[in-house]
Amino acid sequence: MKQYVSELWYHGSTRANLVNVVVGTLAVIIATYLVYSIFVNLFDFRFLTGPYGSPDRSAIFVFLHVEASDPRWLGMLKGAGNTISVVVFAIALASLLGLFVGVARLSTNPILNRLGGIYVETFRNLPLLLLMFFFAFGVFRSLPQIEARTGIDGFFMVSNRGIAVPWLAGAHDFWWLWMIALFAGGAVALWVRRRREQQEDLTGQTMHGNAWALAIFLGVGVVSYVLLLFPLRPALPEVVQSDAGFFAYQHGALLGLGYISALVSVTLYFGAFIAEIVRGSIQAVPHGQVEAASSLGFTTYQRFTLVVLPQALRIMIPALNNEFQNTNKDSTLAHVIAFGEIVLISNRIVNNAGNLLQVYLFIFIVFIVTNLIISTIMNTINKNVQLK
Amino acid sequence: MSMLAVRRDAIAERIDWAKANLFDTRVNTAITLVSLVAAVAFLFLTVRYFLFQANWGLVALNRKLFFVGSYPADEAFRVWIAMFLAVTLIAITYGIWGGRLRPYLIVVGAVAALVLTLGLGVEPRIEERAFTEIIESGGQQTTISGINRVLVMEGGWAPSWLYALSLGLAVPFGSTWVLMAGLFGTLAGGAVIGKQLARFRSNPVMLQGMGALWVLLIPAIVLLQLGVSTNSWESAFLDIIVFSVGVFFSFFIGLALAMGRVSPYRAIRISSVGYIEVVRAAPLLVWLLFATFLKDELGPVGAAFSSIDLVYRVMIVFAFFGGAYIAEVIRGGLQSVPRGQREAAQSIGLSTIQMYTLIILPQAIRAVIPAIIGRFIALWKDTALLAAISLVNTLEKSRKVLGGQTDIAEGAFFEIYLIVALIYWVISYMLSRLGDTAESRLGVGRR
Amino acid sequence: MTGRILLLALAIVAGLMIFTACTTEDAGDPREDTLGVILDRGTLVCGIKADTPGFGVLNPDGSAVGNDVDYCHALAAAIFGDANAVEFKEATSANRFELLAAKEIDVLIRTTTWTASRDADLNVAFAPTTFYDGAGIMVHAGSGVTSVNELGGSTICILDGTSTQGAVSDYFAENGLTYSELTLQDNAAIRGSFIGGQCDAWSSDKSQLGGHQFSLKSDENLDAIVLPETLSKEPLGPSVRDYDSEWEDIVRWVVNGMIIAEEQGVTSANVSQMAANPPNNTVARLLGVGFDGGAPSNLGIGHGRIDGTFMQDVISAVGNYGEAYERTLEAVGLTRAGSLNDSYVNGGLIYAPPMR
Repeated sequence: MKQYVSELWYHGSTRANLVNVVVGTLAVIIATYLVYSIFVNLFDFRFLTGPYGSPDRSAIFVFLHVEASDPRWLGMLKGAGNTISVVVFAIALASLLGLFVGVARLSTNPILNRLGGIYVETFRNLPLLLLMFFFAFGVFRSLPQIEARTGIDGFFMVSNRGIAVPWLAGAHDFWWLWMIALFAGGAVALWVRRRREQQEDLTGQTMHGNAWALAIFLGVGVVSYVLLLFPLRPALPEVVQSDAGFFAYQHGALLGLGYISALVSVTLYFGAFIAEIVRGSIQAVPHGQVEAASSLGFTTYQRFTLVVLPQALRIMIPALNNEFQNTNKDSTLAHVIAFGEIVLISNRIVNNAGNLLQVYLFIFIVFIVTNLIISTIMNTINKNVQLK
Repeated sequence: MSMLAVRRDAIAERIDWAKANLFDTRVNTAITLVSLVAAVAFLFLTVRYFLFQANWGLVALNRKLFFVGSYPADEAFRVWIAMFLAVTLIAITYGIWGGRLRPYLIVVGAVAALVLTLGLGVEPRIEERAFTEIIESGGQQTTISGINRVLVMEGGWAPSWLYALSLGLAVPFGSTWVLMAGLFGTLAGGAVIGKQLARFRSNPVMLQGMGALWVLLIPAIVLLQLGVSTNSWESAFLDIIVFSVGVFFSFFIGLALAMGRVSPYRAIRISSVGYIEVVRAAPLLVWLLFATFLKDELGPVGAAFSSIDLVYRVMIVFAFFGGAYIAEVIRGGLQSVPRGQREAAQSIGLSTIQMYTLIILPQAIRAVIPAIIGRFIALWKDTALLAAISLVNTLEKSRKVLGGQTDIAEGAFFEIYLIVALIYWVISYMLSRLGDTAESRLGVGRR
Repeated sequence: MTGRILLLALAIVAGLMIFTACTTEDAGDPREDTLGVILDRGTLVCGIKADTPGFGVLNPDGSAVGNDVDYCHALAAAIFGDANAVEFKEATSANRFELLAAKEIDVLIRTTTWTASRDADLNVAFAPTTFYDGAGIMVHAGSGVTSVNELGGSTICILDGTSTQGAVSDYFAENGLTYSELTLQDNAAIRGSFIGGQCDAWSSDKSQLGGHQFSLKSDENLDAIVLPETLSKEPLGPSVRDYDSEWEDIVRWVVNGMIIAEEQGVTSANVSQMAANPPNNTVARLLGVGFDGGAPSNLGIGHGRIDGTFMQDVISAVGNYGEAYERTLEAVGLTRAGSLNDSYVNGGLIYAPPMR
């Protein structure tokens, strides 16, 4: 008997089947449990139509301001929009900063080199949350008050209420139709470009895919802009004074305390990590490449932009993909400095209405979707820069 | 050659170097000048702020709050024993595997001298002064009286910044200078003893013994604290203990998950991948908030989980969250082990367990030690997030100080946040130096 | 292949069956025994705030003082006879009910307004009101504003997760005024924002504004005025979880007892003397002693698990309602005389049902 059991155990496929069945059953039980308890609680979505309760105007764009009368589902969507409005700009700025510092750290100029080193070592060893508090309650407090604002009045104004910059304002309630038109135009343009490139590959005739795409996109944009009665118009920020003498920003885009602190701290924090990625990737480019470029008579600038950077890009994109997803996730910390991003809005709903699972499931989905978008974009770029 | 000529040569060499590195092209000259101005301005502002503008007395006054918060003073011995255990192990480890002894001893001695002498110098304290004021309210005069608290620096011979310099290592529990001296003595003595043991540094018994001590350190420290309610675990102490426990368990969870990902059994593989991807999809903050708010939404299991003390729940979240990331790191290490190693192990008749524990894992983990330390640094910085779920960690404590002592702390945001930043930064930076050392010592990381 | 799919299907069915079985079970008795938990633990865990002068602030040595804190001490004295058998946990306005529901704290004494939705929806039970308050708005004295109705177009700082948010939102909407809200997570942040001009006005309960007004004047020499309008009713008091009326009774009657003690002139100074020789039956019942040589009456609070003389411990530790008020709230300039918080004898609202 014992021998039989041991034979069965050491017989590869029996053991594999046994382990698969046991572990699989356990996993299925756990998953079922989660799904079941989620569905028992998730059944009730009525809370989503209730009013959000209090206004939140920390968003930079007016259409992302949460009003007290907004239904809760709209509040959560606007919260997600606020998260995206930080992440997009933070990724762009952090990449620029990281590129600059990463290159500076490889400079032969010792002073620049050291300054870059100090920046990286300082910011990547500090918690992001601390940076946010520091900027929100330390640095931005010390900016001048709105009465004594600096900058250019009516164009770019800086005060401790935030930074006001020109932006676009919807001329009527249906301005977003133009956005849809632009997206549609872009899609059509890309489709046409692809068709023409395919034809070019087949026939060998020059089909001007890019020019066509551009023309279609611009055409759709301009025509729909006119047809929709000029939906978006530039709006310059201004400071208005109430009867009792209170100042407030109006129009334009207001980068308020929460937004600007979140943007600056996320940028500085992830800039340090990106700088390290850039430095490592550039160092990983074989030195022979640089020497070959020099021997061909390239200038330093040409050598960098034409030879080193394209090759370094190939190495750094997977790491950048990771870092951008971290930026996306860590932007949630901005809720502690009163920026109305997804977690802040969600927590307020949980506080008022309960429904923890539904609300957190929504947060979860938002992050899965946004991270998927980031990695899709990065993978597309990756495909384009890899050696073909 | 005369001395003068030698010096002139040295100077000329410097000038040549500057010409070659700082002023070789027009662009580089511009860069040099701009960064020089930036560096000088930065240095000037920093020094001016630190020495002349900041009110460091406030920081020194609240040092106990920053280190241990409201940890009961009667139970202080638990923290001291933990500190002595940790310091002894750190010192001996440095002695055995660290760098040279002399600069280390000089630094320890200097810091000890600074802390111990300054501690006898200035002592800031709060003085309560009666405050009476007539205020107008609704046309009716009301006399109100109260206490106005003023920060007073006494002792006088050392400036406040010098005093604050000693803060980083200052005593959490008042003037227990004997214990502080003992701590510095241990730091120095341990390293000296470690140096004596350094010749056994490659001895497997030594390696395993020290490894076991390090592994036992964290449970020992935590067990020591069990006599004190977690409500009193605050400030840097809370951060460190959550980090230690999180790191400890996340390593083993990560190891298990990484093994699961390369398991020959499909069910284990899929479960591991599913777990890792789900955990990594959402930010740690969301998991922490979820763990805080969860009541019985997930049925009896959730209810059981929510009945655990919040601090322990947070440790569990840290362990399982960190584990998912460490699993990915270790998986990278497993993949870097050449296939031949596995085949060789199999061919000499090792069992699967032997093959992993003796051949594959040592190589795999060795290859990713710097990356694992990188994850530990991330986990350390993530302890700041406890502030977002109303656990009073260092960051939250600083905000409580700012909010609660408005009469003396108003406007001292910079001082308070800088000292908190220093606490987080020092440990983070030391860990990253450890990672760099491991990288160069092990000759890994450059793959 | 078929075998595997079959196995998987079987596993799913088994899982579902197990969970249906688990969850169709009766949820069980929802009642709790908080007092038992506290007695086992040996300390009371009290949720307080640590940034509001008068109600709760934190000292450099880690201790907390304030009116809310005093009620925590009073409860600890009632249960253990030791006013210091209490641990404080700082609860923020945004997470306080979560902490209470998650049993992180036994009682929440943190300037919490008694509202219907909190009572019903969040399963919180409220003990008697210890402080009658109302939302108000404070502005810089230099702004020249004298009424909330002049605040159109201003920026107002409000603490996140408070009932003040709704009160301000309602009031401004009813009066056709617009405003911007700067929502922050703690009073320290709001204070800095108010001083620095990031917001023009500060809205909170009037009592707290009084405390802040006082400390702004004393620390910063900054004059601020609290506008006369009261935007809402904010009765503040201790709160506990639903489904534990025994524990709720203890909290309720410790507060009521402190109010009765004041009515009867029992103070921390004379409580032992009063207990030895009670002047009347009311005082005797309050202090759990017999009157005129009679046997002490058993009120049944705590069902024998706490001492019948618990109010003696409470009063000798923190004093009566008036003493606690004077020590903590008068000290920050919250005048009691003539306010809603005066005893009903003097035309205020502080009134306790009889203890018999």
